Amino acid sequence: MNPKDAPAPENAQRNLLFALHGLYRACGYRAFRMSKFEKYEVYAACKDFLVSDRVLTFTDTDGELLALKPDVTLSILRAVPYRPGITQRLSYHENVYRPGPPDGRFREMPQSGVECLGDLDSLDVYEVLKLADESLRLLPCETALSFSHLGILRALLNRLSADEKDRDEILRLVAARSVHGLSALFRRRGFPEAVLHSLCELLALDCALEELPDRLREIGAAFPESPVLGELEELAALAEGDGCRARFDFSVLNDTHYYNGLVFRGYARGISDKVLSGGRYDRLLRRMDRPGGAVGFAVYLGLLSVLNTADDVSVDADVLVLYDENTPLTLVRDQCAVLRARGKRVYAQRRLDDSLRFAEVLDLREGGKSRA
Amino acid sequence: MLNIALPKGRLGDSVYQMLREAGYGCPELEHPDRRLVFENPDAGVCYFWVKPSDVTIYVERGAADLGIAGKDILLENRPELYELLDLGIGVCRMAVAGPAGFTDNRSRPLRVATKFTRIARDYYASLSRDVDLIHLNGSIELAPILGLSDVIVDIVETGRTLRENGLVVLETVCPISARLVANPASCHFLADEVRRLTDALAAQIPQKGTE
Repeated sequence: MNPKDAPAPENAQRNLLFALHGLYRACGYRAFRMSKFEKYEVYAACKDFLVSDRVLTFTDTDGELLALKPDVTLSILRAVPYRPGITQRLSYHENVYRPGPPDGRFREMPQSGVECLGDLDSLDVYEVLKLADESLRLLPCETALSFSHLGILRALLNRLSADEKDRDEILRLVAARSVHGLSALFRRRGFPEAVLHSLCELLALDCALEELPDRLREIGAAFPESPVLGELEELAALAEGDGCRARFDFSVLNDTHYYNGLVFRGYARGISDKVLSGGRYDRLLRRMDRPGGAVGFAVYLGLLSVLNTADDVSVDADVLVLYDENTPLTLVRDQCAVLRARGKRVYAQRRLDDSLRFAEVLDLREGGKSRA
Repeated sequence: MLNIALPKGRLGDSVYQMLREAGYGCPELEHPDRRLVFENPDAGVCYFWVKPSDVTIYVERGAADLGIAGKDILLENRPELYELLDLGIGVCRMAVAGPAGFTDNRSRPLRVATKFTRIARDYYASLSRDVDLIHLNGSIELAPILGLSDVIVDIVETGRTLRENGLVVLETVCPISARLVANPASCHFLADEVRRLTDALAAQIPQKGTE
């Protein structure tokens, strides 16, 4: 797209939002709007499932302790009760408030996403992964989607007599793709060489979803005791020929306290952090004594502002329309309308302003001697 | 083109030698002038020198695709990066040091001076030891000499500075060496380039890593 034809940044952001909602609506996702505030107790009970356990709170006029919501999912789960045999699909666009990088201070973070709740089957899970891919395709740059399945890692960890600390260390090293770190830890602890070998093979594996079950068998990581392979085979069959770009990346763990199955992350060229994150989070439901399953993702819209290259910052407006007390105001109105109809950004003013920059000036002073 | 942040100083020079041997040399960089950025389009690399403690910031923010950082920086700052290789150079250790013959009085908090407060906090938490952490930016060895702290937590290479100041290593916290780190997003969009360089550099590692 020619930069001159590109929408203004605020329009680009709005267009992306419309496009995301259109996409989610087309797949049967109902828009879900929620309050900015929630009772603090909602988060206090599930602190270990939040990205940060720090929540902005305030006391309402009736003395009740409220919080600016740090998370969308908990609110949706509270508002949408489980219905046996039914899958409920919801989409949202909300701001959340929590500490974030780089300095760990509180930030307002806009995000859009979907939540699919209920008695899920593989199609529901695959559809969410595919929606994540299609959401990334709407961004104005090259994007990539990576996925893993936490059941693979869990099956491997179950073969070790590792305590909580060692397990956390293994998770950290897998997330950092640190083969040398894993090797050193296994050596120190005397853990089985075969498990280390599988971990290293998995970290080196890069393949599409439809290839994954076969590749897991090839490297001996298709654990017969785990139901993961069956689930991956169903997902792989759905992905076959469907154009889903998700690539296996064993280092994708997201938050293992929160997620328990398929997990995925999206990246956009030019943005250093992940722009999309999601997965299956049945563990959270169990904590809330709720049956069924849940899968969803969020697109972090705040990070996408760096992609706004369409804005021409060399000028504040294309045309400055100058007028004075002798210029008929109707003439100023009409000339501005003509210029705007030509796609110009127009700024009408009675005198030159040194603090603003314009590509050209239309001088209508002294009764309007020139015309657009 | 891979953007690579090199740490200024001896470690950066050693790493560059390894990169050159691996086929990622940059003649411009070998004849230094006042420039900060050096490019070799034929090898597909662009190097820039930065302060060692800033390497992870450049890589985490995506200004550099790859960088070389000490394990001490990674443990202290915990950036969200891939740690692809232990380069086996810049080998030293994070250690607790104090006056020779020092005995810990467990009836009161241990006063610990350090530049690496997170590493020190985690270490003493793992020992359930109550500590009073004193963050210093340099000349850490001075703290126990002047009674500012009981011990220090700092990087020890040869131990010569400690000896010259009447201090000895009391405990080793963890081994340290240089690591090749990568921005996760770069690893998706420049996967082949990153893999090629990682493999070539791995072949240059002089000895087995420390972690």
